[in-house]
Amino acid sequence: MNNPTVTPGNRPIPGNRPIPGNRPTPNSPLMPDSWPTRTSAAAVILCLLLPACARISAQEYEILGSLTTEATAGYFSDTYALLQDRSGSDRVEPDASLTLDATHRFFLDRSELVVDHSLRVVRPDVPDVVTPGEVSVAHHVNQSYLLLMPAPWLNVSLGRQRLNWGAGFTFSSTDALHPQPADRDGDTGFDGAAVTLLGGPDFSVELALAMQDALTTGDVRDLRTAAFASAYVRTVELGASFVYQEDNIYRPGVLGSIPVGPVLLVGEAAIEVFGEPGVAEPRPIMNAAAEYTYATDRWNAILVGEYIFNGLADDALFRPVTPRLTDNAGGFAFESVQYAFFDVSLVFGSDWSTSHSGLVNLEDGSALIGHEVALLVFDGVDLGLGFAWTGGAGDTEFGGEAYPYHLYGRAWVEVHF
Amino acid sequence: MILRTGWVFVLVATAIVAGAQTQPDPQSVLDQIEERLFPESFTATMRMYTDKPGQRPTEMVLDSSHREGAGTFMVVQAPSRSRGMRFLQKEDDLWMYNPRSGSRRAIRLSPRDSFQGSVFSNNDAGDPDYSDDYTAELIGRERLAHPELGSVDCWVVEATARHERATYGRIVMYATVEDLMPLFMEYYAKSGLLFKRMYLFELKQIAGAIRPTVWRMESLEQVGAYTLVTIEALEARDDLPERLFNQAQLTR
Repeated sequence: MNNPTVTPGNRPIPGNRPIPGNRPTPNSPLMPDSWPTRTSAAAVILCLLLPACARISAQEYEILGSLTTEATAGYFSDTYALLQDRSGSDRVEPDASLTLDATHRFFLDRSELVVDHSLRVVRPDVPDVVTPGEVSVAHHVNQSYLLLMPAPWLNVSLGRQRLNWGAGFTFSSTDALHPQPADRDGDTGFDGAAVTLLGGPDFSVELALAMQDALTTGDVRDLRTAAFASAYVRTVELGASFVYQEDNIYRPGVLGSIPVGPVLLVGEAAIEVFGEPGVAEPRPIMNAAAEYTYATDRWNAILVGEYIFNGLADDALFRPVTPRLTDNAGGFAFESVQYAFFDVSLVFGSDWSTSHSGLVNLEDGSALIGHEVALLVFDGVDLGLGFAWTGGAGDTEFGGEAYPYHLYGRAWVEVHF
Repeated sequence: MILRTGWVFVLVATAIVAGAQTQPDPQSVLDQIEERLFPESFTATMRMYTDKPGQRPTEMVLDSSHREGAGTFMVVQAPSRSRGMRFLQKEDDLWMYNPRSGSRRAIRLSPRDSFQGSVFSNNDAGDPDYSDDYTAELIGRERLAHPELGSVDCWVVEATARHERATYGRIVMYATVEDLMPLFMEYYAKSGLLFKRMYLFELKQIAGAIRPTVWRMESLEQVGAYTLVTIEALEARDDLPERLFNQAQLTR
């Protein structure tokens, strides 16, 4: 099923972070799935042929990924049903899916080709929306780029690629470089080119040009550029960033990280000169986070806490995704100013793990919380169980129509390869 | 009488000089122990098997690249669940990035914590150098029973932490007098508690020298727990690119 309706409820967690626990955003048929539908038998054949061709053409080839079969059920509010022009009562909506995620790396002489893509088959069980037995097949290319390494100090990459710049855990001011489709969990790269200048193991400067909007509109003013510099002085990182698009984005930023005992402190701050396209109205964006890791012989834990100040949000200025720009010039497509994010991950031996995370709107008190438990059955196969829930009054961000489910459960089997 | 006293003096002086000649410089011994374990810069494939009482044994295969002064970069090849996971040792920290997790940042791991549930610490896995963190002293000469070499004469070297950031308070190393081959090590916490010991076996010609290729690290805190590292491949390399050790490249 491919419901073209885009509702605010499908916005990803900030900074493309997946739903708590590093799992994808719920993919219920009621969470409209607008993955590109250029899916055909060709996509399936491509998935099968890539590894075979690679072994012949590349000097070295590596594939890693997973095959996941998943059953989900969401308990949705009547508000959402009404939005969908359907019967207005709370209801449970189940579906099932099979997803193949794969990253291929073809190693050639002084170059590397990377293809990261997903193929998903969904069989929703919503009788009044789809024909019983109907399935949808969707193929999505997250990254596909050629990395050239002509000199030890120079990398050039061409194609769809993702650059994980910045210091924060949930978002970076440089995320504006990437498209942020409303319904995806944020792995999609930008279409363009990047150049990395390496000044040894502790210093690098990167430049990038994103062309996805300009290619769509045919307007060179929609070209977006960014720069990022990072330097390590012993264990302290210092960095600077800049994102630019004519009359739309002018965003200088700084960042840093420093270990203090067992805790890593990170922070990033930027000023967006444009409040809205063409209007100069400087607004700050910043995040400050702490990470703590602890490992014993039997278990280990990772704790992350982050505060986010989203100066781009303003009741008067915040707009849902516009057709012209893929990310509304934001990089942080949430509507309030202050948020808190937390993530607690625990791994016990080699048998099971659990994670709990959430995003809290500090202004209206609403929250989006997720929990997961994964059990390692045998080598390479995980059984998982998870659920996400929302809290808050009906007029809040996470309690309102933007997040229409009260509770969303998932069970899955994942085979890693 | 004067003549006899003179002879005694000469004999004693000769013994002192001879002793001084045969007792090597401790820091040089530590350097040579390092060289016996790994070349200065290298690539290696290692298999790490961990068995702990009450837990399912685990096995991990790692490709490791180390460049002197730049760091260590490791990629997990097995098990499939962890394949592709990358580690970068910089200064005293080990950074971990899992491309499967969807995370945008690498996680910083404490050097003293357990490496992936093994008996080895993160620093043991990522930093093959001792001499930058420890000051060596020769504290004795003992015979050690080794399964391949039999009873063998060893220098006992005590490596004491130079600074607070060092993983261990001290390490006592046993290396053969003949060729400074490390055979046995004891690891002490900063409190002085002996809590790990490592045996080195399977001496083989690899990467231009005879080296121990099997390391068994035992925990004394968790009785019966051990990790066995087998070096399956090792090659001295002086052409490893710096990009491999650049932290900004770790998350690509």
